[in-house]
Amino acid sequence: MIKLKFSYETSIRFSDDVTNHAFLLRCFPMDIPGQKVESMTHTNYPIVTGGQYSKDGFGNVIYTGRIDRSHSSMEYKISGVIVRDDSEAEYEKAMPCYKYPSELTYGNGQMQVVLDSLRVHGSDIDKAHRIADYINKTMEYMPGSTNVATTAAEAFGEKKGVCQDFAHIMIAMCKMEGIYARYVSGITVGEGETHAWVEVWQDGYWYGIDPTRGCDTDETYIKLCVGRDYNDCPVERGIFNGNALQSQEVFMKVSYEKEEEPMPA
Amino acid sequence: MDRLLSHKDQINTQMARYGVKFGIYKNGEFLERLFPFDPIPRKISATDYEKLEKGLIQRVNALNVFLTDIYGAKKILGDGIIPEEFIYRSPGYLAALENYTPPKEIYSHISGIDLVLGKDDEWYILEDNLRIPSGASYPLIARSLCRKCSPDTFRNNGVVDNRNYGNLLSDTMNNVNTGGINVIFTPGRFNAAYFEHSFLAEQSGAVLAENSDIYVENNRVYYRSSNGPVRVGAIYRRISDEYLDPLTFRADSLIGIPGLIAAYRAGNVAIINAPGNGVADDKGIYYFVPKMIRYYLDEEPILSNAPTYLPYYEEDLKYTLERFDDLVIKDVAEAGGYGVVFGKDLSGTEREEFIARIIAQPRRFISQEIIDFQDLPILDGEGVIDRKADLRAFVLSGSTTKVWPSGLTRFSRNPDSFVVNSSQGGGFKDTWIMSH
Repeated sequence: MIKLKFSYETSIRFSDDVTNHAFLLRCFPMDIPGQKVESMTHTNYPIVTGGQYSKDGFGNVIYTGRIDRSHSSMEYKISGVIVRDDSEAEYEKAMPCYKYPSELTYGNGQMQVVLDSLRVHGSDIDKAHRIADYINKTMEYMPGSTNVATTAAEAFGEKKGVCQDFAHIMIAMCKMEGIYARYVSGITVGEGETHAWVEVWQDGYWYGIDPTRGCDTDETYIKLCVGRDYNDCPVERGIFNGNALQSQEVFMKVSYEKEEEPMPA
Repeated sequence: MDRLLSHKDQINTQMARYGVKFGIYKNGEFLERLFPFDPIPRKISATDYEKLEKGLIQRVNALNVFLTDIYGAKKILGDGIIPEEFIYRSPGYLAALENYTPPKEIYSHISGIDLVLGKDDEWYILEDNLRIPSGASYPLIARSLCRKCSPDTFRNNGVVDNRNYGNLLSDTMNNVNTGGINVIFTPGRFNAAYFEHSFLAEQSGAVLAENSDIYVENNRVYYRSSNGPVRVGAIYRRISDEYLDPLTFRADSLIGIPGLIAAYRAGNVAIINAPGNGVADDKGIYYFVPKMIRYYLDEEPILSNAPTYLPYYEEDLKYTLERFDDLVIKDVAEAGGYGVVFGKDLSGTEREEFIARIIAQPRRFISQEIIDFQDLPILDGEGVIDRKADLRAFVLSGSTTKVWPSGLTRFSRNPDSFVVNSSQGGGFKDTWIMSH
């Protein structure tokens, strides 16, 4: 069991003033067995009218609201304390949709060739590990080489991408093997950007595997949301009136809550 | 009756003046055309209608239970009645609607069920339309024009009055309304069915609104009236699922209502018909509807499907390939009469390629026996010609499920065409349910 302090902030700048801005945020740590939200604060700028928390179809917490008045930037910040304890995870049934391809996770012939050559065998977790290991070793991590609409097949063809692409490819290949697999967007101990990894379901439990870093997830990983692929998990979606381009900066920080206390002399 | 028939041209002129038009998108172009009316009515006898009515109510009730099950407990999958992939590979399935049940467990409030009358005098279901079935306004307005031209015809012939559609519609909306006004939500005047949207608003007393009239705040939906915001309790939306809410579905939709799905899931508004219904009306699921009726209602289906085969099952694939020339093959992902192929019309490489596609992706196709359905007489100049015709029956699920005693009878333009979809040309007739 560990306690983690986290903060997550995003600022969006518009090239011109916008109005009638409706948005949806999906960036709140999940409050589930194994990952308890001990405390959390959430602030927005500018003032949001009629903001509400609710849950989406995958059980993720979402926040929807509007900013009516003219504005040229928007910021939101979430911070708090999370208790992580993987031994608390509870039995759950997987939604059957996690076994079938979604828009960004269709497999293709190229992946089938690789799966055949890997001769994956054993339990679903064993197979998933073999797939993750292959992706980790053969894919090049290259920011900017792909975008949010890049499919698993496209990234696989290019042999490069970012964590999101690594996750999509792994999900696509797992599904080709009939394994339940889902996309996780989250944050991990450290500073910088958000991360994405994969969970594979076996015998009633979800197991986290990180194909980008080539490891299993541990208690330093905090889940923000889950879905079939990135399309189900965008941190923010918005629509507004105004002819403006937007640029976005994201900064997250996760650290152990207790700094090492000096030992008594 | 002769009096009515002699008014064919006036009625069509009146309809054109009212703007009773039908628009279609073809090759990226928007075409608007008149939907020609033929004054010879299709008559359905009282005894025939009684069976139809029972069968349609049974079918729609089963489909509503099915949708509640699919987005909830999924028992029919667990019990192996329907293979999972027919759900999760269907583009109509929307995971965003999982773990939520709409008010009163009604998903398909307004169902358009297409049937044909076989030469054996049996009705066969062709397809279920549970998303946004259109067309109720055409027979409604045609009837009212006919009534003006020839009032006696309706007095003397024992035709069941169909003017209750507006009331049925408002009852259906009121039944699930979560508090607030009823709205008919239209993408605007460029939509193929805009005439119908405005007409139905008038008939049902609902407010006709476009997306700039509606907003969501505090997970509640509001209409911007001239007197300030008014709560909306039920939305009869006439735009398809993918454009409904840019925060949940297609982000580039400029005709949707941002935040609508969150408000809906919070129980603060009813959406008519429910998003996600596409999973229940695709051509692959059609095959399973009789099984659903037995499974959920423990009843025998009153109305028959056209004999249908699923190449997904090896035995059916074999049959489909053996009897290719006698069958009609449909791509389950296509609608509106597109993706329908008669085996006998294909030859050479076209045929080989099509067969290869079926073998490669059997789940994507169904094959059906060609039903020899009855022709209906159509007035043509001074004479009468015969054309194939179908019937779209409208079933409304409010506090109870009711069939509107009327319907849209469509006929094909070409004598040899079996496709009677309004997107493919052709015209329509009034449908008379007889009181005896």
